Parts: sequence; C-alpha cells; structure tokens
Amino acid sequence: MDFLETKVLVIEDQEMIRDIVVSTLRAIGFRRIRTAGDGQAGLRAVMDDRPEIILCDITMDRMDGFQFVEAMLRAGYSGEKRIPTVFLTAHATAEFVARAKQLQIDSYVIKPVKKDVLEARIKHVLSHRPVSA
Amino acid sequence: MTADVAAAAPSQAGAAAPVFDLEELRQVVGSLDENGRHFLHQFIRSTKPIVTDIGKAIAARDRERGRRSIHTAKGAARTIMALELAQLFADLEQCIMSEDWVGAQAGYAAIGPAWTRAEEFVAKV
Repeated sequence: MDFLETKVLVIEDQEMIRDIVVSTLRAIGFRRIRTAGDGQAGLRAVMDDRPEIILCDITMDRMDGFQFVEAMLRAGYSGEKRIPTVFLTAHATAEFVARAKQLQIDSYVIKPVKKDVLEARIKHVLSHRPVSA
Repeated sequence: MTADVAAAAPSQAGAAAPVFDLEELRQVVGSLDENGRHFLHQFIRSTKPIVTDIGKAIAARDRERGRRSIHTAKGAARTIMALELAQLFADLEQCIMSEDWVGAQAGYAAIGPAWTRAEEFVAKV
C-alpha cells in the first residue's frame, strides 16, 4: 500500500508525542501530513482540507478525542462521508472501548505508538474504508 | 548513539526500571540516530517545566492542576521510554488523584534524583 498521496491528520496536544507520530508516519511513507494540537484545531483542519485518515489523541484540553469525533459527526462527516479515525490512547479501559465502539471508531493504538503496530492498523483501516468516502 | 551511552542506560542507583529502554525506544522512533537523539533532548527540554509545575501543584494541593501536569509528564516519559521516570510519575499520579499530599511530596522528592539521571544520560547522547 502506497501512502505518498494519502492525507493524514494527527491530533495530539503534546508536541513531542506529535512530532514522534509524524516522524513515524514519514517512516511508514506518508508525505501529506497535517497536525493539530487539540480537537478544535483538528475540526478546523478537517473542514479546511479533508484528510483520508485521522489519528487522534483522547485526553486533550479544550476538546478531547471523543468530543472531536462527536463534533465531526454533527458537522456532517457521518455515513459515507465519515473519515476513518484511529484513536491514540494510553489505556484501553472498558469505558473507553465502549465509548469508542458507540462512536464507530475504526481502531485504536496503545501509546507509545510503535511503527509496526501503527502501520498495520492504518493499512487495515484504509483497506476497509467506504468506497465513496 | 555510542556504545558508552547505551551501556549507561540502566539506573546507577539500583532502581527497578532502567533510566531509558533503548531497544523499546528504537521501536517507537525507528532508529537511534539523529532522530532518536533529537527526541531524547526534546523530552528533557519540554518536560522539565512540567515537572516544576507538578511541584507547584502539590505545594498548593491543587488536584486538577496536578492531574493535568502529571498526565502530560507520564505520557511523555512513556513515549520516550524513560521507564524509571514513567513509573515514578504513575506512582505520584495515584497520590495526587487520591489527594494523598504527604505521599505526593515523598513521590515528588523521589523524582528529583531520577530526573537528574535522565538529564545526565541524555547529555551524553
């Protein structure tokens, strides 16, 4: 799978972690990478230049990962327009998994994000995305 | 990264967790070349003020401020595989969340030497 032209959005409030995820995405082969420091900035980025996949942190000030996805759905990015989203989380608690399932999150990766794991999740998610997205 | 630096990874104070787990870090950042060095230095630079803020939050017995700061510090330490600090941050987080301020002060005091070991390690990288 070639990621050269695939637009990816990374939403993560910690600069160092964001930089590491971007570095990992470059190593995987992505070149069209956009970043945001919280859910609100992420939402603006989605509306400005629709990504094909989103990697999103959960715990963030202003707008967290769940609120971001809820806002995206309210903004019309649902059904066939839904953007595949992978959560980046420190802990996959039962509450987290239930809420993620409710929002139809495509996948999640436990932090720290390792290259092989991230690449496998992205390939899986992008190979199952809606055809008309 | 030099062999000398890699050998310095285990804590010299005999703590259970190594200062940094370089093999695990390699799986996160891909390689321990310039890229790995950059992120190690970024960790020290960006986390130091957060550690200071944790101390202020404990002194003020401010649970919410402490919770936010310790969450950030713990996430950064786990990401960069600073295992000794990550464990100490996790222990301290428990104290802050339960508002055990005496335990939190002891936990914060334990972070000082571990932080120094992390700084010394990264300075050699």
